[in-house]
Amino acid sequence: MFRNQYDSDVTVWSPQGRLHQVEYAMEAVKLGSATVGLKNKEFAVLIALKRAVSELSAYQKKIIHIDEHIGISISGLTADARMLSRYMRTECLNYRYSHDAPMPVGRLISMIGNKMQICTQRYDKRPLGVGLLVAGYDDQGPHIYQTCPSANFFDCRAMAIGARSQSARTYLEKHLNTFLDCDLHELVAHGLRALRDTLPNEVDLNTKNVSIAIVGPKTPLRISDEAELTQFLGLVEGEERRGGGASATGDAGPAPEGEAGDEREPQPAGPATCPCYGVVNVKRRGTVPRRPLRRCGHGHGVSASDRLLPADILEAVEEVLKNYTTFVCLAVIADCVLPFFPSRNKGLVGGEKSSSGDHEPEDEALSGLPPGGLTTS
Amino acid sequence: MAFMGDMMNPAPFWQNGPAPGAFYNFPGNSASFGPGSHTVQEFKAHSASPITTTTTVIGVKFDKGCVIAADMLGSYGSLARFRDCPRVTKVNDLILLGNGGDYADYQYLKSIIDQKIIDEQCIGDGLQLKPRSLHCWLTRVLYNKRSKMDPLWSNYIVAGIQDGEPFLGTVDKLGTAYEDAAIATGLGAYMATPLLRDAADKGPLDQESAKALVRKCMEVLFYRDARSFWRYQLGVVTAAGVTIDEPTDLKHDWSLAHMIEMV
Amino acid sequence: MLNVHGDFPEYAVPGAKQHRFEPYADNGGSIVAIAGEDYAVIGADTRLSTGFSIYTREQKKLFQLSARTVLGATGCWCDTLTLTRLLRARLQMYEQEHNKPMGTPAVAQMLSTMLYYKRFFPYYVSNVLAGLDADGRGCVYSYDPIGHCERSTYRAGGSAGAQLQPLLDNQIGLKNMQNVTEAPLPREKALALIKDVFISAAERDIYTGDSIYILIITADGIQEEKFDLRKD
Repeated sequence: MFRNQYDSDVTVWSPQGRLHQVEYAMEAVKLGSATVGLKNKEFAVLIALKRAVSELSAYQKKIIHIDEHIGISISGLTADARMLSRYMRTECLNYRYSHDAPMPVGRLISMIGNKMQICTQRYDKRPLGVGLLVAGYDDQGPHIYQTCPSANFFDCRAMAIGARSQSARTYLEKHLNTFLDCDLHELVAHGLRALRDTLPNEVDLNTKNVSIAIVGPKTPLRISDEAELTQFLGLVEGEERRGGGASATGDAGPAPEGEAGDEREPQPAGPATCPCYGVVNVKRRGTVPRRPLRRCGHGHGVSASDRLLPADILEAVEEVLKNYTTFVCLAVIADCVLPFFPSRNKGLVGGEKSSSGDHEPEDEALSGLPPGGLTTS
Repeated sequence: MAFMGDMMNPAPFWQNGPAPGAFYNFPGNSASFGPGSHTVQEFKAHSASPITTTTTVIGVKFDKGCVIAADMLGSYGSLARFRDCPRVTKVNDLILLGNGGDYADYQYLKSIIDQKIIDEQCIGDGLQLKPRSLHCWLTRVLYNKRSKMDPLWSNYIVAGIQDGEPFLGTVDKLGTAYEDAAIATGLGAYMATPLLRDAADKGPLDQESAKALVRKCMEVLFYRDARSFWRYQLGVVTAAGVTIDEPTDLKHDWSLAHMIEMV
Repeated sequence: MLNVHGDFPEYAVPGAKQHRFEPYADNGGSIVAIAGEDYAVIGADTRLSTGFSIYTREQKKLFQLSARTVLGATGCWCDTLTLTRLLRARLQMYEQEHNKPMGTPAVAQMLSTMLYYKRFFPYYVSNVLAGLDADGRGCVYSYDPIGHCERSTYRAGGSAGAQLQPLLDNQIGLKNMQNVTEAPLPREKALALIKDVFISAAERDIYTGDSIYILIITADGIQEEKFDLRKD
């Protein structure tokens, strides 16, 4: 069984100059459901897809109120997000207490960045397994920031994170230039369309699984109630869906030039990654190879012809793989195909698990449960 | 009831021996803390009174900004000791700060404010501290010091441009803070405030009339306040920025003085 | 530690007496609050003073804590500022944790706790809290500086509190009156009464004057009103 030598600790470098533990933590973000953030000249908007752990449970909260002018949307480990949000709330309160003014958004983000960096450098800590989209409004206007477990943060015009968020990013990239000048309703509609692109075909957005937060000038952060959600969802209702999430892979890497956005059927993903974050180069090709061509850095390599796959799922997988030279590892394939076979999840991924074998508890959530198990949202 | 002694902090059985319910009363021992065991001297050591002092600082709002003025004398008790104590300063492009009271406390706090501004510039996000924020921050600092019974013995006047509008506020050594269109501290509260309020009530001032008004107040104060001085600074803050004039010398004329007789 | 005054009295300089730092100031101001069936009215004067000098004539002393709760605070102004800043922070924390604003009785209890927490270095503030309770009825809570809390239907507090309370007792509580029947106090009457008692207070109390700032709390929201008093 293959095992990576350099991922035992956050403080261990790989000879390629990578910190594997940090990269694994980046994967946790993709276990959470997708969330989109975008802004125009005045408003910043967060739109999140909520999911319920089971039929019996309520939908997990995705958007957290930080202060009157800041809200966050989370993807990844919910518990880590709670701890981060408490820190952000406290900092905002302290700033208000001592300066009688809202905390500048950028400064809060850099404080978060500093806080998250500490646990990527100490052997007795672990990186936080959550990514945030932060929407805020201050004297410099609306902001959308993205933060990662790697302690990187980015000032964005629009961004999507979470499971199968590549399709949403593709949508956002395609319409990026229209956001700045559109009005609030159009902005929300764009966000909803982007979020809908991450969904499987038979699932649609509704007032139960969508959460929307808006912040802007003289508009304290507002998390929409059901009436407002209905109104916003009405904006995109009945529109023809584009592509959908059938082949989105839920990774968060940047899309290669010229690939994203131009192909709509079937929805191409960006570069596929294995759950260990070994980036696997992808090229479009018409044929489906029958043998595993290459292994990713962690030995996840399998091909579509893997006999573990039942025929109907295999068909779907091959559909996906049509676009790639297929040394995409099975975990990735599972991630994008499984949602379409809810009843079959366990058997399939169980097989994957035994074939790769080196999945640590974080992968447990991926393999034992539907993508993004109990702890993520 | 004096014979009962202090119920909360009973006397030790013998010199430096254990008190009922306590171990030895070493100096600095936690048994010597607590409200009951403070001597008068301990409080005194903590609460300095001002040493080198400055007198009134005045500030007034006009339609597009604020003026602040203060003289440059540092008094050592009744001795006019230091003649070059600037205490109207630019904090950043939006804020003008004036001070009166203990000069050392002012220099101490000024260095902290300066560092705060430098830190902010180092962040480089283009945001600037605003007057209301500095005003609030000063109330917190001064209030915390007073709560430790170790006050910074000063009055501050914060003038500036808050989101395009003039802002004028003050804080004293307790952390008492308020905003008003005209503010004068120290003796100026009795002599300058009436003049300033009168003028402000007659209608909005413009920059020139506000400056003239403040200069008039400085003159009145110089004649009447024994701790005042003829050289003073005057600063203006508008949306265009902060300007502090070179120290100005008051023209004073005491030729009438010998004719005034105290009956 | 040697002390000039205690140990060497002959070296003490007459006139140059060192006095102890006094952390409290009396900045004056009065509050009156009246609760009715479905409203609460609270008013405070806007004079901030120390001794014989007036700091400012337009200091609002009412703090809107939520859509149904208003706090009036007078006394040592630096303590008032600190207390209300802390209160605001605590209320925001409550709202974020519980996804609803704190109700007036809960604010009242929390304020009491916060005051008592500083029992041995109290906030020298006279607090009167007015608002609507869970049933939508008006309520008024009043405090002493160290956290004693009492609910009532009308209360005067601050520098003229002791002068105004008997007047309210008579006019609203119908004390020492014969042949009167109790009836709910209409809002207009409460408002007029507040203006009247403040006019009286401004006549007798030098720490009360300039103007009153009044907030009227109903289920529909909070209305504000200003009323001029004598400015001398």
